[in-house]
Amino acid sequence: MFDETLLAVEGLGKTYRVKGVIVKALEHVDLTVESAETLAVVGESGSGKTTLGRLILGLEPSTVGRMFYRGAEIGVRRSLVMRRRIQLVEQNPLSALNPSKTVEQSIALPLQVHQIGTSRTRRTRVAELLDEVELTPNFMTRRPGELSGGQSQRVALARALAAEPKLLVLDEPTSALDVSVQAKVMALLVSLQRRLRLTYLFITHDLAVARNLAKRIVVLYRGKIVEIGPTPSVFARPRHRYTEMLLASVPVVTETDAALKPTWPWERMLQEPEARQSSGCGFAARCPFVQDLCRQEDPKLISSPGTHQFACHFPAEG
Amino acid sequence: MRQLLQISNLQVRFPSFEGEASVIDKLNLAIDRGEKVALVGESGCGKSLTARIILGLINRRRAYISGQIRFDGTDLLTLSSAEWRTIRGRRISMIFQNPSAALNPVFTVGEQLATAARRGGSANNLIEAKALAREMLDRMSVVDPDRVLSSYPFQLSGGLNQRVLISMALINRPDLILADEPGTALDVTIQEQVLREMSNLAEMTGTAVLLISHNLGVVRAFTDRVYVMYAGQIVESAKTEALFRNPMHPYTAALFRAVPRLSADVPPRGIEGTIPDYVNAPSGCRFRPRCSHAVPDCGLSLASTVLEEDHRVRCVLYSGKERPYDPVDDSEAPEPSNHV
Repeated sequence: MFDETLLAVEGLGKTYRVKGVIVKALEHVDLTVESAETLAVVGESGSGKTTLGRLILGLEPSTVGRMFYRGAEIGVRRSLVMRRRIQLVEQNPLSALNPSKTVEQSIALPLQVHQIGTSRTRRTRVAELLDEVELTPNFMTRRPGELSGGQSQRVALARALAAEPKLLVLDEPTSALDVSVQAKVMALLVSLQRRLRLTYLFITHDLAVARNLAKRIVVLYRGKIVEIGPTPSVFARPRHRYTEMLLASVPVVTETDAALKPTWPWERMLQEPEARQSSGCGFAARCPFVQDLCRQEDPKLISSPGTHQFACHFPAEG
Repeated sequence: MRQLLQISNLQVRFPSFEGEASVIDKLNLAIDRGEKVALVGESGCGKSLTARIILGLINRRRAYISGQIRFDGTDLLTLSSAEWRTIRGRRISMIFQNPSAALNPVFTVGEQLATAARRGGSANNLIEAKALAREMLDRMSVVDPDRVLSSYPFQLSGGLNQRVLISMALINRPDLILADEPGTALDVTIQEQVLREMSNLAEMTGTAVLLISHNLGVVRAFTDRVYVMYAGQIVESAKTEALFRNPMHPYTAALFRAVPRLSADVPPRGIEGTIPDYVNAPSGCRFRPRCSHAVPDCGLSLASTVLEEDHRVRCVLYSGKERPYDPVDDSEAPEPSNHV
């Protein structure tokens, strides 16, 4: 099996105008997603993770940049077939499902929209999809109010799978769940990926979850990629100071895991001022390692041989 | 260190259409002065309810509450509303999960902090109150306290609002704060900073903390002692370090295994099944329908066994002297059965 680029994003940018102020939600994002891999997108709230997902799904037009699906350019206007290829699973399964519709109706809707099967075969297909997400057919008649968080997330996943997608944009799919349930949904995602050769864009703020699921990881800060590469390499040798801080703030439960966290000078940590400076590194305002150059010049993504790419003037030692 | 709070044999039942829901079952919990104690468990296990009962926020006409909650010598369950006014916000205060919803949207942060200080008797006039408010924000590492004081909550970020709420909870130097998931609504990096600051400030004011959290990692980093709660029962309690080194109850061990690890590139193991129905809760240990080590005796009523100094576990597997199994290395455990 060889790697094949499923999705390529080039120079992607998105700006919003909020009360006359231009907010750059995403800037110069270049990345590829290989077929049947999991690419994790991590960052704090406001880092542009969800915006990236929305642009890839075609829910909003990008301001600049291009996107290619298997080499063919895609934008907001997509054919029905193209829309089936990329599907979304959201963070809060309870708001993602229509409370007045039964599970069967929710899962059958994409089948109707995309004219998959006939009205007779659809019920069988819904049962199959429920089976894929490890739910029994008697869930068909239930409504979201009768489901637990984990069960609702499974139904949302079954609905996304109904369109037979190649790429799933998973936007914090386990964040609203308890750890014991999260672990089971994570295991389900892994087994679905193997069986159906699915590709995941896994958006999360939880670095440990990203570590467990993703082969590669992208770290976003204020709409820019600050570090990107194979997950083991980024975790073993974080170079950008922001990645280092993210890793240092992961709550861990064992000594082994604690030893994997970099030490971070929390006491020297700067608090973010309200006004954002226009030039230089976006993290300069919070970074304890900031120097004059950081405020003047925006660091470019550079590759360090044998590892991964990062954008920092004064990186952590690799 | 002297004991500050002691909950003994707390039982809480709510009447419902289906019958009586027994949501807290024989809960025992103690906190010393200045101690940081965690109450950890999954959603729906009764953590927040416990905090609300300590603070007297549950309508006694809607719930049957029995047992004792001794706070510095007085039983909180017997207080009148007038007596509560001398305790709530002065000697015990609370920090809620969602800071933006916990603050009043129509008053500035400064007005709210000053009111808390004056009601609590920490300031005699508005000038003193404002100065105290400013000092508290300063101690919570707020960069520009004057701007924050003149802002309304909606103008501030979640992290700043939570710092305000923590300042407000600690402004009267209470003996105890109940912090209900104080970092959960925040980004991980902000959570780390805010909890660190809360911890330092509580040490400065000599305040004991009951940290309620579902996040084992947060509990490990910020507390001295831990109570693990499952379905309204305390299943295990120990010094934080001891609990994380050696989780004993099968539920605690299963919860540990479910946490994603930085040292692994495969997902962790989940726990089969769901929290039981509180109306027909299983007798004895409530975890037994999900437990891979369940035996018939689990249905019997059981007091906790003290294993080592301060390490208590409520599980029949430990009622003998020897350890029957190693819950940490549990890879060969049989699949849980549902017919127990």
